[in-house]
Amino acid sequence: MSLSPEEENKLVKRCVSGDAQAQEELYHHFSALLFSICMRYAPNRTMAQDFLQDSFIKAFNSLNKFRFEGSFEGWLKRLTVNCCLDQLKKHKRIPFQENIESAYNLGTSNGVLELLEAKSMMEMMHKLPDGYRTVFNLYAIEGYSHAEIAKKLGVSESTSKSQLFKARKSLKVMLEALNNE
Amino acid sequence: MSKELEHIDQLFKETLQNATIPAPSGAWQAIASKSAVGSSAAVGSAVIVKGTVAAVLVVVSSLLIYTVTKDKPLEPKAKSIQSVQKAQAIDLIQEEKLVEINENEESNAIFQGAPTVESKAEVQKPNQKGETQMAPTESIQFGVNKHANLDVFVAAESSKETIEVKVLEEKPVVKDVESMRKPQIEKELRLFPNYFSPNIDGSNDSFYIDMDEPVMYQMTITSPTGDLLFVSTDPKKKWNGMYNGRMLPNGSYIVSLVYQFYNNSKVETKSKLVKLERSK
Repeated sequence: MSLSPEEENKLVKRCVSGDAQAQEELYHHFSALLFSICMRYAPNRTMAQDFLQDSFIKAFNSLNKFRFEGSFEGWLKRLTVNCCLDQLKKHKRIPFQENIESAYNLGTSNGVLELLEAKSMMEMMHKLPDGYRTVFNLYAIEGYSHAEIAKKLGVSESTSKSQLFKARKSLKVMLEALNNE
Repeated sequence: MSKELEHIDQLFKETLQNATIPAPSGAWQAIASKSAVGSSAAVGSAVIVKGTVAAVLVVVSSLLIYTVTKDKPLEPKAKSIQSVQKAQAIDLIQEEKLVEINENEESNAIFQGAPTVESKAEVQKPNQKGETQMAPTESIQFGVNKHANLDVFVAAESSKETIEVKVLEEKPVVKDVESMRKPQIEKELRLFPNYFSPNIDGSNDSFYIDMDEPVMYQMTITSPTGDLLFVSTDPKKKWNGMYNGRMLPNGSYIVSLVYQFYNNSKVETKSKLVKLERSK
């Protein structure tokens, strides 16, 4: 299923040279990974599909800019994240609504369910307001710093920090709720 | 409190960072058609007259590529693009030179006819040896000359075996080569389309030439303005209407084909204006 770096580069070169089959192969290799990224950023599945389409179209149109330095998968992931952010901005989902955290009552119990499936985690992500989810994704999963996030989203660093804090708190509440079921 | 919360980061990161979720089934179709619609608006149907002028250039340039690639079998796009650009820059004098080169090329091909037969014969020999060694008694019987069948068993056991086998080699080899020279079925070019619609609707989405397997093949696709868009030396490789990762606009493109069906047959060149149209 997974490709070696050489095979990846070969496939990319075939795509750039205009090979129709190669594009579809590329899509089939990476669609599941990229779709999970889109699912993390999008508020729902339908929008995630839109994000995915947009990402692939952008990827195909800028494959020739890939310099074969570093991993292609990493390049594709970054491109997808940026696409998701652009789409969220386009839909006016950034800047964020600030005051939704009251929707979740913060509990105090310590038990956190370790064995969570990706699916239920994704559901929790979808329950987060867009701003929380975006910052949480960028910081916790993609590993960007607050300064980078602030620059990417055009918000202040302190906004980024507060959004992250709220996101964590909301997720904690949801995890606990799951634990108590 | 905050440490506990950072634990949440870790938890989500571990689970979701490299998670995969199968993309919805229709997504690929949507991507393919959307990207097609996105770029088909531009340049479009202009300059067919220019096209024919360029077509001449392209034939010349593809011949040049051919002469280049003949020596160094496969040199993918980067270099061949350069050579085409050079080719486009050439003036009439150089074109004349090219024709000369081409003539030399053809005479070389004819000249090469004989040696290839020899080389085949050489290739055949080991096979023959293999076969005869597999069933020594049979082949000895087959090739037995003046000596009677009585010798067969003796031969099989003794060193005579190898000697007789060597004698046998020649006749069947000659036969094989001749049967190879005369093709059983005449190879043909079945379809050289002049239209295709790369919109991923499942019909006529990529451009290719349907033909029997040639020994030498090169297809070049160029824009009406003479830019090289696609080169292939494999008849099975199809073109999807993209260049450098971008969908090309609707319009006419020049396809030049150079091919040779047999080692000793004529080098054929053909070129055509092919219409690319994405809308239905």
